[in-house]
Amino acid sequence: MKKYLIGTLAVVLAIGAVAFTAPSKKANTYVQFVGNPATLTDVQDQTQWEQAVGTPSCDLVNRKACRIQIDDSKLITNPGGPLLPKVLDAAKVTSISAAHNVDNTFYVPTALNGTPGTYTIANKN
Amino acid sequence: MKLKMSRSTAIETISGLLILLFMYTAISKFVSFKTFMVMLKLSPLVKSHFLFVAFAVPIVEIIISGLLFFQRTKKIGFLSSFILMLIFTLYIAYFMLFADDKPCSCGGVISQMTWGQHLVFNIFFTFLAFLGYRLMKKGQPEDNLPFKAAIQ
Repeated sequence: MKKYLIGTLAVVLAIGAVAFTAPSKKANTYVQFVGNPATLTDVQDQTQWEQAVGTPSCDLVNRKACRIQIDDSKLITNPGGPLLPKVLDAAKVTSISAAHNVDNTFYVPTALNGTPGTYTIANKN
Repeated sequence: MKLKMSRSTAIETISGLLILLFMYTAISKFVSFKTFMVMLKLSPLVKSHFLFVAFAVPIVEIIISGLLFFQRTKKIGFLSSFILMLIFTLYIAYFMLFADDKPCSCGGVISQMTWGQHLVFNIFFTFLAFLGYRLMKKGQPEDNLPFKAAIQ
């Protein structure tokens, strides 16, 4: 039994450490862009904007689509399956306006249409 | 005899540290599973198989922890740890050298590290796993000699 002491202690410590560092439920919900920022239809596609648990890192430079802060009632289950992160609900965010970025290479979202409520768009370099 | 004791203590300590690392990161990945999947989906190296990788990585980490836990499987556990840590280290090195976007798909507080700190951290644990494997390999013939304690 003694030879398993360190291993057992390690397992208990690992579980304890996760319990103390687990992310808390946040009031702010972010959706993160997971498509190709060079493709206009990707940026405009609601299913390419997936819910992120934390805050996706975006430096606010308007070169590439990055994240949108939005009320989580505007999200629905991912069409790929319930295990996948939620995506923007096309019934509430009926379309996403997008424009070429500052150097005309990629696309960035400029506005959400429909009934998106309050939202904040942040792009990245 | 003293040398044998310190070797077994070193083996137990190294396996304990590796179990702690793998169990912590595996549970963290399952706790934040959706974030982990999004990060993998953004990774140019694994995005085509992100769902498989999302399940495989934490499961492999838990299996390796199990191998390191038991005396009979510790040696293969150290070897598996070394291989897995080497893959993680090369993955990080690739991102540092070639990728513009660097989505970190690591678990727990490790994701708060800079890429440089993460690389050093991984190299350290890769070395520990290798050291554990070498110590196990070195220790084996001695364990097979029943009269060794009497000689020492």
